[in-house]
Amino acid sequence: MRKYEIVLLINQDVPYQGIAVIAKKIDSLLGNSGKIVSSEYWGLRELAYQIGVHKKARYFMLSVQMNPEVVKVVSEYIKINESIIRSAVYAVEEFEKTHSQMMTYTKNLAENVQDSDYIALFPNPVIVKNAE
Amino acid sequence: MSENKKKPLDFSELKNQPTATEDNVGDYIDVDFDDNYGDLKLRKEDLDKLSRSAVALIKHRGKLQLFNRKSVATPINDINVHEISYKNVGLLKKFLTLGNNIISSRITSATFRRQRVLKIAIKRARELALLPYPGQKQKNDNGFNS
Repeated sequence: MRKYEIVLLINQDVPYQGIAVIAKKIDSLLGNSGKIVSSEYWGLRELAYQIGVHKKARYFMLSVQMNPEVVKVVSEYIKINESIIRSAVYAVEEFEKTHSQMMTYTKNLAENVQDSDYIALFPNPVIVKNAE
Repeated sequence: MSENKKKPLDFSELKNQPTATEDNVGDYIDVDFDDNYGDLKLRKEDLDKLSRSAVALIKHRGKLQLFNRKSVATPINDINVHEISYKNVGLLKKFLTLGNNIISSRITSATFRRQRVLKIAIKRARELALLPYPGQKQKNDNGFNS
């Protein structure tokens, strides 16, 4: 089992609830050969440059522990999914113990998400980090 | 090689030295400082106290110009290496020029390891449209600490 971080840029037309569907689909793809450790929603933010038609996107990050063979399966699903604009899978040595720096930025954004909403959207096995 | 390395220069020590008279002007060299220090006459014997590059400047121009330089960016060597990641966009922005190029380690005095980690982090952030590529317009986004 190795540690990976999956970052997804999701189309802003997809409702906020649609992200949970993607998270659950990835969780089911992993099966026994991996698990989602935590997830972070960075909110709807402006892109640094235009990607195709898109000027904004919803950022979503998953910290995943999985076997290297499953990476192909997951990245294939991400490729096929039309609502995902761009994605990246990075192998990391260790996960961050607290929430990442990005969450403090999202706190300042207008579209802030309540903690209770967040927990309702991503129940177990997707463990939610506290966004303090 | 180690003897030729940069030696620390104590300005206060140099200031206390006897001033040049009309007889022995030849033994001294004019040194132009910042406004903080003012002008200073430096004895030729004290050249050893200066850095190698400063001595080379004196030989080239016959005159030395010293400036009270400050580091441009935040001291990256004080930051924990694990903090430098593509998620820490506010930090990474400090190491980009106005044209969104990465500032070289010559200026930020970053160690080889930190510069390598920083390079990877910035390129990952660019891939995810968190940071712009060089030559792209800069935007005002309130989400980042600058």
